[in-house]
Amino acid sequence: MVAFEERSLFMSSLEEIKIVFSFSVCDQMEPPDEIVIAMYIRVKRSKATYFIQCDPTETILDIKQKLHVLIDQPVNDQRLILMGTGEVLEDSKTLADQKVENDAIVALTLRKDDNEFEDIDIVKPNDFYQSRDADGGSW
Amino acid sequence: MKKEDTVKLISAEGFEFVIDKEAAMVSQTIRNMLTSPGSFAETEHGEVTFPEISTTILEKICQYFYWSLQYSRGKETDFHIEPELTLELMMAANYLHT
Repeated sequence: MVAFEERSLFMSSLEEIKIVFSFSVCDQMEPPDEIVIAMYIRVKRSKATYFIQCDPTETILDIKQKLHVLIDQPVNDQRLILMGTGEVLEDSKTLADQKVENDAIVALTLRKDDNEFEDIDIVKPNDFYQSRDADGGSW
Repeated sequence: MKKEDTVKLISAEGFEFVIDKEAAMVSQTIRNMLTSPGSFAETEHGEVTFPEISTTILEKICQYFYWSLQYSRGKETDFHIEPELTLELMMAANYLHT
């Protein structure tokens, strides 16, 4: 059973709010299986983000096959680019080989009609916090 | 991995996050939506829209779901929260029973 304190990190600074949550967390978290999720990556294109569970030993092709299930695009029409380095990831190499780590953001681009791949297109949310930062972050 | 095992969460601004159902069910609210028979029409399509939750917060929540799964299976890492997100994140956590 997962201890309550582990699950309450959002509330760590406000003790009283814990009470609201405490009765909901106790009887729900039996893991469906014992497979340890080694890592996940965040694959982004346009306004969509796909959280893909994976293992460092998996190849990029394995990841593309998982994406194929979700987006119905053949693996040959997918290109994955590691954000941060801008490196195009190669099918035959593993995630570990190319230093793709847990929680990494990977851009997905698709082959266009003219057989070229499209440019990276990741839309960022323009919300309150970012607009405040753009104003200079007054507090 | 099957498409039926994933669920799409949609933020206030219409951004989509496709995550494993298993991860989404860290949230008791989402778990109820996905498991209660026939009461939430949108979950039949595997989509849940959260008009009150901004994109930044919803992404953080999805990251938390996966962190929580990893943590519950013995991988002890810290979950980093930017201070300016804390309040909105707590309100969302309250709503989601997370």
